[in-house]
Amino acid sequence: MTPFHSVVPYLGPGWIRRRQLFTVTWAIFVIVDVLVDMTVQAIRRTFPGAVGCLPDGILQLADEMGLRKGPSEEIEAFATRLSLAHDAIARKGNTLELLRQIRAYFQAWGVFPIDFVDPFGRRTRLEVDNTIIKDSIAPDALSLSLGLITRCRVYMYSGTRVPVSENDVYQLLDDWVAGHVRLAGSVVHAGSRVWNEPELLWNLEGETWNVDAPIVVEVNT
Amino acid sequence: MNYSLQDLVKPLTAEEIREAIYTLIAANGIVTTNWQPWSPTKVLIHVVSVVLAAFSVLVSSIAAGGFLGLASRPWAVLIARYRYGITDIRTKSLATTNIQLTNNGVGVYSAASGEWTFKNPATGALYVNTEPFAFGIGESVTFSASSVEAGSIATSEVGAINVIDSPAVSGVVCTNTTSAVGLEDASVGEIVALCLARRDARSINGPRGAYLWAAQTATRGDGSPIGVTRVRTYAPGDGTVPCYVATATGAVQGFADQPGTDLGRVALNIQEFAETQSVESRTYSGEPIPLAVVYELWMWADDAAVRTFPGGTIEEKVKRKVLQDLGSFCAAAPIGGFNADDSNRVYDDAIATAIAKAVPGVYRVKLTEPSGPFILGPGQFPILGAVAGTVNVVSRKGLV
Repeated sequence: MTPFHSVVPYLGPGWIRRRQLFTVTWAIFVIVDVLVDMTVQAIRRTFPGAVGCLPDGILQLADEMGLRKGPSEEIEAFATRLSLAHDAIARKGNTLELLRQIRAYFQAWGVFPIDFVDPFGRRTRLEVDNTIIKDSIAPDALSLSLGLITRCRVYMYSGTRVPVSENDVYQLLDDWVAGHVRLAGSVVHAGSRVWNEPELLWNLEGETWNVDAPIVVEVNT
Repeated sequence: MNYSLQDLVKPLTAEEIREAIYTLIAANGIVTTNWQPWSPTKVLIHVVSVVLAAFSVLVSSIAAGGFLGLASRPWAVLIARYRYGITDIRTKSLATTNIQLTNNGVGVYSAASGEWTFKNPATGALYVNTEPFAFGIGESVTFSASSVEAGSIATSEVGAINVIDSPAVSGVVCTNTTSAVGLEDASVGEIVALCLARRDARSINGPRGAYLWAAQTATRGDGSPIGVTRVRTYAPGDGTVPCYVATATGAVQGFADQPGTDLGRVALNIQEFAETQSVESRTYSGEPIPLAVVYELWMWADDAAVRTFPGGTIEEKVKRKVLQDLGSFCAAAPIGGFNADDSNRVYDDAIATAIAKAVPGVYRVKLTEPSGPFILGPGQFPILGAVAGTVNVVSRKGLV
C-alpha cells in the first residue's frame, strides 16, 4: 500500500493535527491509498508472470488468448507458457506445437512420450527429452480404405492414468489442430491390444497403468 | 492486501467510500453519530467521497481495460483496434427485407429507389425500397427494402410490414416475405471471438480460427464488408475443409467460383488467408431456415422497467421487445445449430430463455412452437420466422 495515509496528515499546520481532524484526514488518505493500490494491482495483472500478477489475472488473460491451463499445472508454469503464447499461436495447426501443448497440459503428471500418427503411418514422436523422432508404423488401413487421409491420432505413453475428462482433452486438441483435421476424440485404453485399435475405457480414473501402456487420446477423422 | 479481479473492475460508489471513511474514523475511537448533518467535517467527507468515487471509476476502467473480456464495449473496441488490428467492428445495422406488393386496384405504379415508405404498424418502424419497381393492374412485385432506423428496433417478422406509409395508394396489399433483422452494436463477446480468430489467423498452418477470420473480414471489390458473422467449418477427413458462411440475417449471395460475387469474395479470402497447401477449402453459403415461434408468457404487472419502454400498451411493448430479442437470438445462432446432448439443434429451452430475458418480471414462458428442439442439417442456420405471442400480465395484488 502507498504511504499517503501515514504522511499527509502530518504535513498540515498544527491545528489540522488535532485529534478529530487528524483522524478524518488519515481515514480519507487510507481510501486514497487503497485506490492507488488497486490501480497498481490492476496494471500488474495484465502482465502474466510479473510480480503481483495473481492467478485470476493469469486465467483471464489465458482465456482471451484461447490457452487452457492443465488441471494440475502450476500457475507459475502456466504464466510462463502464457507469456510465450503469441509465438505458440502463430504455430497453431503445426504437429510439433500440438505435441508441445499436450505436454505442457499434462506436465503435472509427468513427462511422457507423445505420438502423432497420420493414416499413412507417418509418426512424429515428442520424446521425454524433447527430441523429435520421425518414423513410420503400420498404416491405418481402415482410414485409408475410407479415403480419410487426415484421420490423425495422438497417443500418450504414461505410467499413470491422468484424471482429466474426455471433453477437456477434446477441447485442447480442437484448439491446436489445423482446420482440416476433424476431431472425434475419445479417451481410449489400448492396454494389451494392438495400439492403433484402441478400446474405449470409461470411469477408470486413478487406475495405474503398466509402463508404456499407450493411452489416452485419439484424434481421428 | 490483494483484491480479486472482480473487485478491481467494479467501481466503488460514493456511499461505499463514505461508509468506509466513517468506519475508519470510528475504529479510532471517535464518535461520528452525533455530528450535525451540515457540519464542516461531514460536508468534507461527503465531497471527498464523491471525488474518490469518480477516481474509483477511473481505477476500474483501467483494470477492466487491460482485459478484453472484462472491458466495457468502448474499451474493447479500442483493444480490438490497437492490439489486434481490427478496424471494422460491427455497429448498429439497418434491417433489410423483401417487400411484396400486390395490386388489387386499378392504378399502375412505378417508383425509383427510396421513393416508397412502408411501415410495421406494431412497432412503428419504417422501411424504404432500395430497388426501383413497377407493376400494373393485377400484378405483384417483390423488391428489397431497408429500414430507416438502425438497430434491433427495426426487427420485423414475416408479414408484419403491411402498411404503405407513403405515397397514399389504394388497392395495393403490402407484406414482407422475409424477416427483417436489425442488429445492435457487436457485443463484447462478439468482439472477443473476433480477436481470437484474428490471433489464430497469424498461423500459416490453417487453424480453424483462420477460416473464421478470413470469412468474417471478406470485403467486396469496393471495400464494403460482406458482413459474414457466422462461419462453420467441417473436416470430413478427405483433405477438404467445407466452410459454410452466413450473415446475421441470411445467406451470402453468389457463387464460390465467381470472385465478383459476395460468396466468391469470401472463398477468395479463405484461400488467401486460411487454406494451407494440399488442403482444399470449399466455401458454401449456409441455408437459412425460418424459425417460427409461438409463445405465451406470464409476467408481473407492476414491474416498472417494462413501463419505461416506448409506445403502446404493456402487452404491445412486451411483444415488441420479445420480437427484437428473438431476432438477435436467431442472428447469433451458429450454422449447424448448437451441440449439447444432441447435435445440430436450436434448443426450445434456449428460445424460452431468450423470451424470458427480454423483459423483467417474466416468471413463466410456454412454447407451443417449436414444440421441441428445432433440428437443423449441416450448413443450415435459423433466421427469424413468424412470431406469435400471448402476454398475460398478472397483478401481484393479494399475493405476498
